[in-house]
Amino acid sequence: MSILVNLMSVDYAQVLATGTTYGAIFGAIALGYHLIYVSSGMLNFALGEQLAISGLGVISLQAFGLPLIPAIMVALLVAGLFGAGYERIALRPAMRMGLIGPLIASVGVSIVIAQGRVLIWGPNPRPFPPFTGEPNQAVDFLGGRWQIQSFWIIGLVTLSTLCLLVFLRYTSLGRAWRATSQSPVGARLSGINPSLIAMSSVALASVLVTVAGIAIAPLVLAGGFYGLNFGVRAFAAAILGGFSSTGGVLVGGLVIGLLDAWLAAALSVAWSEIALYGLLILVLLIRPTGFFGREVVTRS
Amino acid sequence: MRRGAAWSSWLSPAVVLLLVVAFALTQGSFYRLQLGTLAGIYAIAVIGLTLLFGGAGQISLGHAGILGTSAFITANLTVSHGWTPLTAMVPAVAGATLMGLLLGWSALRTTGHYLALVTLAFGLMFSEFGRTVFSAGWYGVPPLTLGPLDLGDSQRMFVAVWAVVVASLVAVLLLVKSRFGRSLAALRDDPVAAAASGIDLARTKIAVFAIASALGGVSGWLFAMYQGSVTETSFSFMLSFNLLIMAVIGGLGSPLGAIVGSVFLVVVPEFGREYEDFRLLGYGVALLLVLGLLPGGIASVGRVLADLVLRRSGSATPAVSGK
Amino acid sequence: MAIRRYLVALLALFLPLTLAGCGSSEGGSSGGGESGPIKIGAVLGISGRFAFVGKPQEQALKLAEEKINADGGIDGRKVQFVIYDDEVDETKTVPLVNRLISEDKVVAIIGPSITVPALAIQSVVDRAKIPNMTLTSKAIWEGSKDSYIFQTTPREEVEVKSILSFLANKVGAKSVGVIYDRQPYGTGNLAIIEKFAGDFGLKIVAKEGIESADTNADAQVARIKAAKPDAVILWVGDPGASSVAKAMQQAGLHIPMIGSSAIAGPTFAKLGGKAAEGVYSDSTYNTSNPPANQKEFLTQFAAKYGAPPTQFAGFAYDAAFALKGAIEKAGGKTDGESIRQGLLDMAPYKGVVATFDFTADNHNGIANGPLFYIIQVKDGAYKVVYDTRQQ
Repeated sequence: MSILVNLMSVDYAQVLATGTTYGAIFGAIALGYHLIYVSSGMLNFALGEQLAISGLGVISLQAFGLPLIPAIMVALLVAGLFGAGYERIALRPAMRMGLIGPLIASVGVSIVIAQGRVLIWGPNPRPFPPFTGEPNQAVDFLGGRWQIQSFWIIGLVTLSTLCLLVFLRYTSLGRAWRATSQSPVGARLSGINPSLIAMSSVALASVLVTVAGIAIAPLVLAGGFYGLNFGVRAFAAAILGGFSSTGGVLVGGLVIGLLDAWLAAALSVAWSEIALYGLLILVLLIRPTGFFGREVVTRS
Repeated sequence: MRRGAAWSSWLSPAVVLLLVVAFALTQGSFYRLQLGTLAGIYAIAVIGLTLLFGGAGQISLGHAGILGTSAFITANLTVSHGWTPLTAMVPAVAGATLMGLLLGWSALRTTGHYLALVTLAFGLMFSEFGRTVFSAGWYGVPPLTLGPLDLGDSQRMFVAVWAVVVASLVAVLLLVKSRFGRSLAALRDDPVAAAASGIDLARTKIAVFAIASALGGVSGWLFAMYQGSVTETSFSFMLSFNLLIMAVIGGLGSPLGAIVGSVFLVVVPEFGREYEDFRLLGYGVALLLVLGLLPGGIASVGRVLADLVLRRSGSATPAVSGK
Repeated sequence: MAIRRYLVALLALFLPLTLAGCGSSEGGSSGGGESGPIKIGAVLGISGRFAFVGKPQEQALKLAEEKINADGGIDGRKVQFVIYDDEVDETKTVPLVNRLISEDKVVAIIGPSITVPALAIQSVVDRAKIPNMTLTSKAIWEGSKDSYIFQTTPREEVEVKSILSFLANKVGAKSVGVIYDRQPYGTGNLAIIEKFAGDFGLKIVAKEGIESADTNADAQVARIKAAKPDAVILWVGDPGASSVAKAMQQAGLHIPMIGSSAIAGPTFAKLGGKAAEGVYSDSTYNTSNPPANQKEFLTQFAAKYGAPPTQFAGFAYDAAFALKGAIEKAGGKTDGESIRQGLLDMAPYKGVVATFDFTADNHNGIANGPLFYIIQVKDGAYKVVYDTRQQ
């Protein structure tokens, strides 16, 4: 009974603040999963670690003398190239084993990134200054305390999503991507190169996730061991919303963010995690295509 | 999995047994025996993973939860309630199998990637649960005794564990050639045709998970006695990942590969103590290399070499999807 | 023939492994002989979650090795420390200890750095009759006859009581909230805090678990804030600890906070920034005004490594020198029983951390009184503000 009381008596305004902030990040990563899944049927495990490493990349670039904005630009470029690279080198060859191959390969990539990070930057996470304001500076908004960086996060993720939508609608590569997602056979027949689509989707997802990682670094420190945590929650978001639905994964991200914040505030952190994983399993069993998605024809 | 003459079910286990006995008799250092024992314990679990993949085409990203369930039960019963390790085996393996049945049931409702995510969530949930509810862990799990025979000694434990490994190997190889094994192959290769020919897919799927989990349970039970202490940290995602690596590097569809992979993963770090920092990185890279270049894993190397040596032209180790 | 192919395949697979197994079999050279260096093993958490404990310990042992050998070694023989990193993972600790015993043939083992691995190897070292200078704060040797485990660290309750007495007497707190590591390091000490809080008139009004790797402590701090304590006790390492500091600042919770020695190093202030200002911690060192037995060690360590050590280094340093004294007391004999007897027989050893007098009933040998200084972050670095020995 007291659990129910706990669940009801949280500080909702603060849950809103934390939930939307982290929900934006989950949504961004889930959007990455969506891009990759819809264009090549693969689940990519590595995005979570890519998130964790993005802040470190910027810190190193800044150490070379680049100011913040150019450093971010370069980091995004490198991320895109890196994504395209590992899709080609690690994921695609694993297709030989069926679709489960790239999944395992992406697990391997995530370990390589995580360990590579420890070797290059050391095991300790690094502080990352927020884009504006003092570290930890917060304002009162809608009844809760929001960190200034939260607004940057939500803004950047929204901006990135809009850019992505524009890209998909108005560029030739974007149109090719949409064609592939709707009908892979038809797309191939019209001359679209499926391997190019697959590679660019991982590249795009990497860029998205890197933007999110840089934005959240001031809150969670750059280079910590949170890749798996974020990755799993983003999976939950994509499953809830439906891997095949662009809008769905973003909504899913928000929902998971709010849910996570609410559970953490009501129950102890440990039980909130258990509840979250339980929920993930439940959704997978009951409605694996999510609330907005439909089953995607998988490629060979 | 390779179907073929009956002798092949017995030949490879016999060779393994021979090597094991030779190793046990020639190693004076109990450190090496212990390493070998650990490799054997993992091998049992990995054989289960191999069956899961070769049979149901499924990987588990949370197998540590299965081993952990069994290890927790073993530790709890022996340390807190004074059971002997031998009697604790039944509830421990039963518990693990139960978890496997749940996962198997999940396999009826989802497949492929989604099922992989279910196993991941299961593993993470177990880890979190263990850390919250059983954070203290258990110390002082007694060594295995078979009646008057104390197997706590390194050499005896080594032989005992590898006896179980060989037995598991024989069992799985025989299973693959049985009618059940043919159902498995049908399930993996062409589920529609399989259903049409009257094979109960549901039961087969659940059975595969149950068997793989039972093996995992045996592994967890042995692990508790080997380590002597059971804490949640031993059963995190890293263990699931390590088991997966052993399976893939050894050869994902091959039970023999499971043994090779386990030995490989336990033994190789010993040769490069200075490179300890690079160990996990090396595992990740090795995983990627195997997936990309050598999907049959190290096990397939044996076949390839044999072909070369015996100069068979055009032979063909069939393309891997679970063979 | 199929069977031939199969056989060749199997042999091809296993041959390299068997060759590897046969070769370099009895490689380790003996360290217990009459001449040649004396080998002392160490298993420390040099990397991993408790690197802030294990790394200084490794550094201290290397310093001790230099110093002992420069001063003529042990009983005329050089000493060599064989140090392994167990990453505070007890599945690694046990094999490493076995390796030290059977391959490297060490005469004693220093470490492990924290409780869980230390408990895991207890039966191993007792069965092998190898003296083990444990570096954890739990009195593992207690209750077992003829234990081979000795302890050169302050016992668990000492640190807790120092913190509790500081809060009760100096800060004037009546109620505390506790944020603790969900691993045994935190849960174990939480139990001790709960056991003794009442003795100091303190009531625990909230307790929240956190992982040392967590970078977001908002939920925990929100619940602590709701319970309205007078002060907060923090028993977790970084980055978790600094996340708590930041979350407290963000939530506007400006009450005194004291952390365990897990945060007594430079990392906490570095990660916490302004939020770390004013936070207390404890240490067995008085870096501002070191007493005689600490001065030499602190300066030599700083000279070699560029920064003064955290208290964990001292534990290992004292362990090394205690072993030296024991072997010399045993007349240079290096078998396990003699060293053990030497530890018990030798005169009280004045170490860096405390004076140790090992007896059959007390393998810790420190008088159970307060040992800690309370330190506080001021301008980004710790300064000593209170000596608990004074009460």
